Amino acid sequence: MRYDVIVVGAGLAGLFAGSLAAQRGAKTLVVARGIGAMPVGTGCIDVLGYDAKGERITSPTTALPKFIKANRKHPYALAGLNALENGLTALKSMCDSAGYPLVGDLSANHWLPTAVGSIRPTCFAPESFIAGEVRRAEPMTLAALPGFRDFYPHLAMSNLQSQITNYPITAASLSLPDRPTHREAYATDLARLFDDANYRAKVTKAWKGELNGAARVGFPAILGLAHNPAARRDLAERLGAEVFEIPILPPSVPGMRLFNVLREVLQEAGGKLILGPEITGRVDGRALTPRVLGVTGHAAGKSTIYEADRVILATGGFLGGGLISERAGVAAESIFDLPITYSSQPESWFAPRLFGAHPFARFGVRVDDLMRPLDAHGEVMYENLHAVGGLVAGADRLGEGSREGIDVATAWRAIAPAPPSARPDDKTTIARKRRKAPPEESRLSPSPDSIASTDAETTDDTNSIHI
Amino acid sequence: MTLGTEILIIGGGATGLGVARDCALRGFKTILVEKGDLAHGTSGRYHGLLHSGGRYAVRDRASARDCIVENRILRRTFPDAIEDTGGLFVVTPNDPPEYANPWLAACAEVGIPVEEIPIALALKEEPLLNPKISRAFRVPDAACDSFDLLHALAASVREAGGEVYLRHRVESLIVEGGRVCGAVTRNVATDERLTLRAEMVVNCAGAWAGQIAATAGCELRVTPGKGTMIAMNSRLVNTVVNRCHPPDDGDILVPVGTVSVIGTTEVVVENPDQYAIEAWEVEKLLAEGEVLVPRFREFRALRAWAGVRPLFEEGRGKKEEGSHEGDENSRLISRAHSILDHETRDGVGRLISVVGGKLTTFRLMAEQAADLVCRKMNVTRECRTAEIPASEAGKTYHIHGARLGNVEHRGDMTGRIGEGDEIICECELVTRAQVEEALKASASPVLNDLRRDLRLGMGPCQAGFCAYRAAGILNSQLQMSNFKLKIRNPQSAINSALLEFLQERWKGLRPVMWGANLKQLELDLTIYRHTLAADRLPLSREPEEYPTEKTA
Repeated sequence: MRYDVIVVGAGLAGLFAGSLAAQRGAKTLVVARGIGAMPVGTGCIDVLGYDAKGERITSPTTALPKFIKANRKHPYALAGLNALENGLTALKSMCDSAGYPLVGDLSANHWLPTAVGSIRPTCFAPESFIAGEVRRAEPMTLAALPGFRDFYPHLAMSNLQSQITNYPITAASLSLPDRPTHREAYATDLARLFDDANYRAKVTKAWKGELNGAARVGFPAILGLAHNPAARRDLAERLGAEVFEIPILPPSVPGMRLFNVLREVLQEAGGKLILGPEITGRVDGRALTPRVLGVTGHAAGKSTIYEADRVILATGGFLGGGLISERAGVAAESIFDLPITYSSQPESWFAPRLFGAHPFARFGVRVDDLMRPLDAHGEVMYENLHAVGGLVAGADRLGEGSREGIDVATAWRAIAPAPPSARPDDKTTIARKRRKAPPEESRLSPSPDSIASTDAETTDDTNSIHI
Repeated sequence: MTLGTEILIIGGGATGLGVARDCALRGFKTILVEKGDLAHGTSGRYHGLLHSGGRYAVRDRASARDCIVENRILRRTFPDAIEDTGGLFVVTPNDPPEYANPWLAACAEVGIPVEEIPIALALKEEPLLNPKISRAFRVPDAACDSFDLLHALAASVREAGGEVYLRHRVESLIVEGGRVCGAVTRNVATDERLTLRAEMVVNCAGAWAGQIAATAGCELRVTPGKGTMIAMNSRLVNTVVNRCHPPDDGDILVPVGTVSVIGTTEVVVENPDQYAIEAWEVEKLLAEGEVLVPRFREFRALRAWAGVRPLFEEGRGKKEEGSHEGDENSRLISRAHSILDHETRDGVGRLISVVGGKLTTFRLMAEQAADLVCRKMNVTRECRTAEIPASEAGKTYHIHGARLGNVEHRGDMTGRIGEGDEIICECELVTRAQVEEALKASASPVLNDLRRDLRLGMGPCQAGFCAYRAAGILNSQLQMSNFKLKIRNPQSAINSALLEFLQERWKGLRPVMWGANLKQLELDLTIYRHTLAADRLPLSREPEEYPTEKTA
């Protein structure tokens, strides 16, 4: 089977890249082993949450130029801020059209409560998160749902209250009828209950007395899987209070909503999604200019060849399976065996503290400004292969609070601009262009020569390229 | 505050609790103090092997004889902490074949029952075992859960009228007129001082015994011998398997609960509170594992940890740090124990130190120490620990899978899960009621103690899911004032408990961080750092490590 674009991976970067490509008229396949990492996470889009000192960032717009200057090999620096902005606009409009709006602006982070009572900066959040903004001076009530083992609002309440002095935070115990009782109730069980208008009518009747006049009520993120916006509006109306969600342990219902939205956008635009097969890469070894031919999917005892003009690798880091480490001190890319940056000293992969700055977080595939993997000499390896998202080297996504922003910016950069020179037929043109006339937004990207040399300014200078 | 007692025992490991039980059963008023939790030190960092004595038969017959006698006694008195796995000694292609016959003779001499079994039978019983083994011998080894053992011991001490004070660190022994008459302790949870006056002090602080003795002016050189172990995430064997060769690194594989433990290395360290697990140790253990079970490294290594053996030989100086294998092997320092009377040794009266030894023979050490206590106190009282079982309740061996049975039969006849029956730790099948119960009984808000009590967080996700839940439950308990102690700053205590629990798990994971563990790490960081921002909790103090890892 032949496609214009094949995307490997069904996380945010993969589904977004596939949706973009399909919307632009490319015959698109997204193929993935599993359902990606969206069901693990918040369902929000973090762009830049923390500065170099670890302080919460108020405005990504203000912080980003400085951040890029200080981190010249960061995916944001390579993809460029235009890609980030345009990508976010495109993602927002996809979510809007699917009736699941994301609210936010690059110029201002939301500061939202977490389920332990920390404060988390994020840039774009589902509507159902917004009323949790901690800087809004308005009393907050958190819903305790007895029998649900994945949310402990009293813990969140006391920790939030120790940071917030200008309004009270309380908790109210709300009963949850009809949940499964022959086994533990998961967030997804409860979310499906809240999709049902009759259920909402039933529970809110009992809850009203408990909440007596609360201004805003925070729930764990379980308010509907398929019909979250309707569920939130309905609950707010029935309770006479604003209602907001707080993300909890996996499975992440808001993450699953985002997955469903993007799957819908992809399929509506004519793209195809195949989940399940194990995937290996196919390379044209005989061609004068090295190219990838596509991928092979292995499932149910047979192998299927999928060919494409362009392949986008969105397989993620270690969690997603894009990077694998079979033994201490060794890491590899899983589909095309691309060279990756990492340290061969296992002791230097990890910080002594669990929440320290782990060098391994920055391991990954080094790319050029069009997200094409580079070899040890800084040369583009395959002109029609791109790597996006968590697979790309140079970012500590959790430490920076940039996990989803990088997915969006790099996916956009790989798919969207595709200037004529990036078409996979004239490598020399590309190389010349990159060396002599770097496009505006890639000026901060390293030249091929500087990649091999160490650069005190960059944070990943201790890594060497291993092939 | 000052309390008085007849016997004060320092150290809540197997030795100290054993002495406390023995003394209490002999009718002495007994108090034990432990600076951390039960099994906080070496006893809780043990491989889980209840020795038959076979391991020591050739080199150290006395120790081997003690082992087989004590093995039988413990099976009678603490069956609940023992899984009767049986043991095998196997001759692999890497072992000198000429070792087996003298070993057999030595076992016969000390009375260890050994039965040679056909290779085919050994492989049928243990299918993952190296098919190239040339001989296999059955011995009465067993698996012993030291957490269960120590809890049973502590319960038995209390039953016999003794008291156990956890989280009481001894600041110094009190010496008056050339004799020790108690100790000044500090409650590490509340910072309160407690002075304990005693007729007799028994120092069972293991690798820390030298520090305690020093406060009474006695020089006691205990060599901390670090032993590293790795837990593999499945029961690769259901029988304890030993290599039939002179004791060496990585030559025992013990099925304990849901995992199997390969151990151990042996490295002399400077400080029992500060040591790191080194890459070569992990590599060595995995390589030796391959000899017992081919493709050993392809299984998931769950975590690595180390304990410090209190190695002691009178007259022997302190060993050089880092020495292992080679010229002066610390394995040659006897595993036998010593009961030291500081009156005859150092001229300091009423102080006894118990050093050296191993978990299997803790009861014997305790008996000898208590005998000495009696002599010093000029009384004659018989030891009863060899006869009296730990409790009426635990009269059967631990059965692997019993926990699953309990969880599968939760709830009532309707098949519904009742309040408190929710599973908090899926890996180890711990319910909310168990967590609440354990916290209620606990003297301090420390989630790490739940791990030792309940195995909370010891499975493959290494607390990824249960740490948050346990912190939430701890918070509710503190708010409902279910706690014995008044905590100075509950919010800080809870947040610190969560972070310390996660950090403790990370410490064990870090040396075996590849493959599935690396995926798990990213998942756990996505939960705690990304979704919960637990690294930004207010009021939390920097987690205190115990023992601390050396930072490079």
